[in-house]
Amino acid sequence: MSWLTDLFAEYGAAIAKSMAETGYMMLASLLAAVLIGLPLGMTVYLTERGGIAENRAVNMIANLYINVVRSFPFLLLVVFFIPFTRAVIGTSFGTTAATFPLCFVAVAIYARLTEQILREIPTGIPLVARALGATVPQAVFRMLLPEARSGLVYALTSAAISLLSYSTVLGVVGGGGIGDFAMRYGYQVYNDNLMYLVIVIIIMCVLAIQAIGHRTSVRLDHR
Amino acid sequence: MKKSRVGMLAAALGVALAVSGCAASAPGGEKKDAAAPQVLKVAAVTAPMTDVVKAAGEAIEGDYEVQLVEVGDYITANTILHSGDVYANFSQHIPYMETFNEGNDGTLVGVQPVYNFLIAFYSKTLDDIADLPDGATIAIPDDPSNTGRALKLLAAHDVITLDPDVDPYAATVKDVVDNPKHVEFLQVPIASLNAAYEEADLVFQWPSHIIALGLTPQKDGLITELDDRFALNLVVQKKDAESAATAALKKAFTSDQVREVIEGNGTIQTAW
Repeated sequence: MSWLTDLFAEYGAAIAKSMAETGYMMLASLLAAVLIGLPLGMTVYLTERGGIAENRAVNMIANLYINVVRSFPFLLLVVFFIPFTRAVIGTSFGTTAATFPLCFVAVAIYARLTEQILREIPTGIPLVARALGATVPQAVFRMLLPEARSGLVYALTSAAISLLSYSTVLGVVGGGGIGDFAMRYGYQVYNDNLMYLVIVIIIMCVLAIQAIGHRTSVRLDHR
Repeated sequence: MKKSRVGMLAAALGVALAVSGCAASAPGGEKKDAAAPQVLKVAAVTAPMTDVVKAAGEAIEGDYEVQLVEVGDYITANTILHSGDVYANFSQHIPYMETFNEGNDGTLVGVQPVYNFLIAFYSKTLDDIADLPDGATIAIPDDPSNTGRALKLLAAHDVITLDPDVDPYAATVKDVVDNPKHVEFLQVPIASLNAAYEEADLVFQWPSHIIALGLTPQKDGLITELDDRFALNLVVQKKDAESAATAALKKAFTSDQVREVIEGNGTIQTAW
């Protein structure tokens, strides 16, 4: 196992730095997912035909955004975004700039997942909300979100794991992160042991995210 | 419905078997058949390399046929040559090949330099490398051999100093021992360097890529370099280096047809 300690001795600091970059990109994009993606998914659910706040135009626009962003092969989205990133962030290279396109994907993924979770709520609940004359905010905050919270947390776990995977290609705009590290210091220079080590580290991260998400989700499930 | 699915599966399997059977019967086109010409598969990634392979295919003489195998990346071009799935590749310079050999116990050899090009640093804002501001951002490639090449060129113009104990061709950003202008390095893939031109103070690039921005090393390069070590080479396995097929390939890759492609490209020059 001396090769393992040797690897850690030589690359430990670089691995830690890459992990921090990945963590930064994931946190920022998950924040976007919750703050923008969740309301967007809720909007799609509420505005669809027969929904609590039916509105065809809003529904179409929200759906269009989600579908278009999710259609892009992620690597192409990042490259396509370069001029927009530069216009908004001031630069299109580096970890912060790389997070910008990742946020758009995070919003789209989580909006769709949110919509799916809400659709699984028994149809009786929206009907009851209507019958009681609840306003839309009341229906959302008192009935839908409490009912769906366990599923929403579970879906966020799934989104987080997808985002970890997406973040690995951000090296193309100098974003760094653990995936880029494995490509450059492992794959490109044929340091296979280092690449395998990083893959194992990523697997452990995913297992941890999944375990935390699962537990939280179970705890929030009031059914 | 179920029956037709089984049928489709069987058909798919049949095709797969037929394809793999073909591949097995002609590994890299090694087997010689008296009647049919010997097929030499040559892997390449992108133009102008693929254009050169096509031109060599038109030029090849004797009982040979060149088959271009386009692959998605430069490492794959070497892996499939190493495994014998292709006879040769045309995708790299010797230092890049050596990195592969070291990492994979490879026995690849360069048998014919074909073309070379001026590499250069470009800047959207500067006209002279001497005006490089303090704390400037310099965009360089993120793969090992091109990183070394970029740093070596900067060191040759005193922007930085490299550790004298390190082979400059293998230098990394860590080997910069003196950085009087406190420059910062942005490392991105070659394909992203054109985008970096918009915002970095200084950008390394190949002529084949920078031409997309209307720039040429001769006119727009702030500092340039032509190094024979980085000429694009025809590469084969060592065991094939002296074979008749390789001799025919070498002749084809230095033919007038190939010369025409190289001279017509405008960003590269012949290296033989």
